[in-house]
Amino acid sequence: MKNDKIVASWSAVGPDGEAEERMLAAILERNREVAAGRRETGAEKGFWRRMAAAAACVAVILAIGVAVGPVGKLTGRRGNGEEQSGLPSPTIPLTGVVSGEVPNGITIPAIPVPGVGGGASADMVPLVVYRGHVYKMSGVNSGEGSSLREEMVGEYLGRATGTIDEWSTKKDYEKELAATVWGDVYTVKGYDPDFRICVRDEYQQGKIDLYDRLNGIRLFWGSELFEDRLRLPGRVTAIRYQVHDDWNNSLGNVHYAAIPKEVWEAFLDAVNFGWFVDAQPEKGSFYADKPESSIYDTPNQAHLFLTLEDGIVVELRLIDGGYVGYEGCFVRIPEDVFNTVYDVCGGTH
Amino acid sequence: MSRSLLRTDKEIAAIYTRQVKTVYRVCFACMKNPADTEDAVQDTFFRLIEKGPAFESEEHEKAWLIRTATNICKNMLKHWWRRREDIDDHRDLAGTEGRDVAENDFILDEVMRLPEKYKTAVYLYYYEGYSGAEIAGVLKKPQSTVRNWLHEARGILRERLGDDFDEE
Repeated sequence: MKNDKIVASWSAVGPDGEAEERMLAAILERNREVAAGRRETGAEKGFWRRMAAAAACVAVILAIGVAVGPVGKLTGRRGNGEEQSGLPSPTIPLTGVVSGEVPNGITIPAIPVPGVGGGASADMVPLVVYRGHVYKMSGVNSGEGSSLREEMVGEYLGRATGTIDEWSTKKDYEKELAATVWGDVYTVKGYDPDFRICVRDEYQQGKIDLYDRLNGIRLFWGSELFEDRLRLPGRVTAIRYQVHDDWNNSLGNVHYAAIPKEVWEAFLDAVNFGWFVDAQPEKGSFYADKPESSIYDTPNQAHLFLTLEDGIVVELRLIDGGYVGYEGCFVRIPEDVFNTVYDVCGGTH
Repeated sequence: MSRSLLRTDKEIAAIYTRQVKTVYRVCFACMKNPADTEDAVQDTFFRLIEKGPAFESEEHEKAWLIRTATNICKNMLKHWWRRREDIDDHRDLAGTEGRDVAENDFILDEVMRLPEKYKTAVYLYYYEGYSGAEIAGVLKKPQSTVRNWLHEARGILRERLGDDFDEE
């Protein structure tokens, strides 16, 4: 420790025995209340769950609906009775971090300019510079016809004039709204402009593309990406998946995933509470038995496509072992929670 | 956020036993008196029960509780009706350990008199042994901010404690 006297002074701080018991009693009482409340709510919802399940089946058959109805027995959930005990292992070793230590999160370096992508021609990468940061065209599908819905377009920010090319210098990048594309630039309603903006591309009949800034940042908790930036909780209207072989060979075969609502919520909660891990270590290997490996070096994967209520489709990568990723940023969650979704999506082990 | 895991009493009690001292100290750093600290500790565990997060490890569990406790304390301090009370007002209310500290440990008194924003960082750095980067992650603050907090807190403590602040 760095200062023994300060450490010693803190050691004396703590609840006395009576306070400790008093707090624990109140906490356990609340635990029972919450458990009882959920049991009650669960019973009330029984009818609606069955109705939702039927609706989901119809929707899948017609291939037009949402398949987020409860199907089958819930998994990954526990009641408050002792007979239902069995937490996920609290000490699942983390890959990419040393178990027992707090990870430092991941740092995604700023995109180096000029020479985007380590030497690739700048004009090959659709990007816009806004407030001094580089926004790259998003990997997400913007909506119907791959264009962002008109009602999602927010405040006008200015005009991108496609002045960046492979011969551009650092100075060219310093201009506000310098870009490799042409079109009007706007905020996106409901999203933080520090993360996401959009461009109405003049050369693609006004198609509106999303541009995200997922560089020059540090991520620690899953919620910083999946909740604060992508805003997934409570907004997913359809869940589809593709097995890895089909994805890898561009075979299509995207299916609706019948995932019970409670299972999905538990999964998303775990993702938000998860910690980011270094998925592509510069030194060493992600998989101990594979030299110089990254997280992608496994066939045991699945691909999840989430349609949000605003029409945006977000692709998540699921990798065996409890890893959930977006655009190369992965959190690890307890495997029993992970597998409730991964197994439905055809994930292999 | 939607609900997640329901834990048994035994499981909640196990987490409580593991983490209550840490949570108590984090809350005490903000609230400065045992009565409010107890409320904040309870609220932190209530949040655990209601949110039901799944944890990867005990360190993950601890980091989540520290962050939640910090947010709860901030909210409590923001309440319009809350009088900003000092530790001196509560010497008679203090729990056994808290009272001994308040009366006898002038080092802790000085730590408690640090500006609010420094105290949790100081506790995590000195007592829990977290690095600046780890504190930044747990509290969701930029690393540069945490470094500044620790730097300024050290300066204040060095000035107030003199030889008792014998950091190497």
